[in-house]
Order: sequence, then structure tokens, then C-alpha cells
Amino acid sequence: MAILLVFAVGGGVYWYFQTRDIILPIGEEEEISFHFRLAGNEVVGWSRGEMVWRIKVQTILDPERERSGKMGEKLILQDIEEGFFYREGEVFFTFTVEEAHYHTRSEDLNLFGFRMETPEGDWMETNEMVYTKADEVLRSPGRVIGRVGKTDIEAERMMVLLEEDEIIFEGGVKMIHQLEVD
Amino acid sequence: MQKKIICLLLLVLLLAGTVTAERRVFITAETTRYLKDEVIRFEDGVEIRYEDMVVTALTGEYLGDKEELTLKENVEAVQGKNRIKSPEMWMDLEEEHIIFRGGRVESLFYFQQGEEEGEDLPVEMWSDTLEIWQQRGEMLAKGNVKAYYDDMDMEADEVLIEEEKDLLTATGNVYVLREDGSWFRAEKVEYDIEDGTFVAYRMESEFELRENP
Repeated sequence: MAILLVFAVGGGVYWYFQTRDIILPIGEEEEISFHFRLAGNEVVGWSRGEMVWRIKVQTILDPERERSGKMGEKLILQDIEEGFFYREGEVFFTFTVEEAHYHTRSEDLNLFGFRMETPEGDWMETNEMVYTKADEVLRSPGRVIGRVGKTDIEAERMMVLLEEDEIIFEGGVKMIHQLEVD
Repeated sequence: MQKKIICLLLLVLLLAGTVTAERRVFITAETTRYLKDEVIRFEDGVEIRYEDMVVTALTGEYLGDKEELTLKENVEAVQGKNRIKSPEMWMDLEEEHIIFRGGRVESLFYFQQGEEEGEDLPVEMWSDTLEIWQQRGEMLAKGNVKAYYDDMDMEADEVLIEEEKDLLTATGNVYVLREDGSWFRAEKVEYDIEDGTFVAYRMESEFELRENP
């Protein structure tokens, strides 16, 4: 019964967003007229007129709207196909994620079960990654593992400074570099 | 008697070298930053391990485009009994060229004598810089060089050790004091590590003549 209810609610929300062309202005007015919008099955985050992230999603839940009828402060994105972070208009890295929480006031994003991949083939995995719009930083509060070039990396925390194009690993960083062999 | 210079030249295999046996380099650091243009910065303590060799320092920076690695503050490279301490170490991975610099460089390495371990004679050396060229098998200590080896103390402006030739060449204000009190000064001294003989140029010397028994 509970499963049927979840499907019913999820399906209802999905139908709602699929069948209406919605533009939701969030936060203070900047150069462009919106910061967040639902377009088809994609959720897109903007900053200073530039696209920062984009998520292809099948299910968007708004628990507060279900209770009060008004848009809530947290949207839950589920059944995510793929996500992208952009830098200067180009794909910085792609990511897959089990679930994402979008905070409509702060425009922050919590990404759970996160795995990122760069066009060069580097990858990184962590349980949770948090994007804060205020400083344009992605942070993993927990352990992260991955591979950059020929180097395996493990660290207690990671930060991606999107503006500076910089990745910082912190806390007992261990790297194993594979040498080329004759 | 077989003599062979043992030193820390394998260091250059880090990150860019080619090897056949152990194939991994282990790097630990408290903080690692991947910056633009293939720059990697290590902070708050870095340790690099390769086979039986360990290099530690407080900070480090790797420039990917130039293939250069610089380690700074309390740099210590250890391989077995051999060790080099220095305020800074710079390495060109492409050219396999290492420079220890930034202050006094303290080195301890061994001239191997015979096949048995334990027969090695330690060489202690201090200099302002120490350069190592892996491909040429050469090591050059420059600036106020002092070295203690076997029964002699040596001072010079520069000391060059050529592994292929088993040759140690000291140049500029060379002063050698031996355990028996004899000494000599010269502009240049060539010491054959293989047979233990000296050739001194422009020499001034003082030694005691002993009567035959």
C-alpha cells in the first residue's frame, strides 16, 4: 500500500512538472530573470548569468507543497540519469548521483551517492557532496576516493573550487602513483 | 677490491621514470591541491616512498608541464643507510637532474668496499648545494664543501664524484688533513676511489719523515 502511495505521489508530481511549462523565480533578481527552472526533465542551476549545473531527472518531489500547497524550501530529485557541472560554459565534469536535494532559498545542492567523472577520465566517489552557491564550492564532508591521471587518491575530505578550477584533498591524503613500465 | 658508490640517485624514478620491478610510488600529505595548468601542491607534511627510499618535507609542488618537483623545508631523503638533508630539493624529472639547495646540505653515503655489507665506508659531506645527474652518474657538491672519509678530512670549493670513473675530483682551495697529522693544500685533487691514490695539482704539503727501522 505504501509503495503504491509513493508511486502515486511521484507519478503525480512528475506529471505535474511534465505537463506545465514552469518558471520559478528564486532568490533576488540578478541579471537574468531566473536562477532555477524546470525545463522538460532537467533541473538547471545558474549563477551570475551562467549555467553552473544541470541534472537530468525523472522524479521531482516537493514534500512541503504536498502538505501546504506552497512550494517548499527543499525539492527532492530522484531517478537521476546524469548531472553536469559547468565552468566557463564548458562541461567541467559529469556526475551520477542516487538522490539530490535542492534548497530553493539558498540554491544549494546536496548530492548523495556521488560519483564524478571528467572528460579526461578522472573520477571521484563519495557518499555526499554539497554545493553551496554562495561561494561556488563543492564539498565532501566525508571520505573520498578516486583516480586522477595515473594516481589513485584517498582523502578524508575534498573541496572543488569551481571559480578557481582547483581541487583540494584534505586529511591524511594518500596517493599511489603508477609508474610507466618498459 | 671492488668499490662502488652508493647514493640516492633512484630518486628520479619518481613520477616519470621507467622501471621494471616495483611500479608504484606512494605519496602521503595532509593537504593536496590540484591547481590549474597541472600544478599539484602538497602542504602540511609530505612523504614520498619508492621501494626502500623515503623522501619527506613540509611542503612540495609538482609542475606537470615542466615535469619539475620541488620539496621545501626540512627535506630528508633516506635510502637504507644513506641520507641527504637539505632545506630544499628541486628535481627535473625529464632530465633526471636533482639539486639539493637553500642552505647547508648534509649528506651521508657509503663507498662500498668488498661484497660484504658492513665493509662500507661512510662519507659525510656538507655543502651549499648538491647536484645529482642520474643519467651521467655524477654528483657535484658546491660551496664550502667539507667531507670526512676514511682517515681524511677534506675541504674544497667543489667536489665532483663520477661513478663511472670511480673518481672524486676536488677543486678550488683544496685542503686535506689525514689522521696522522699530515696535510696538503692544492688547487685540484683527483682521488681514485678504486685504488685510493691521489693526484694533486699545485700542491703544498707538510708531513713527517720517519726513519726506516
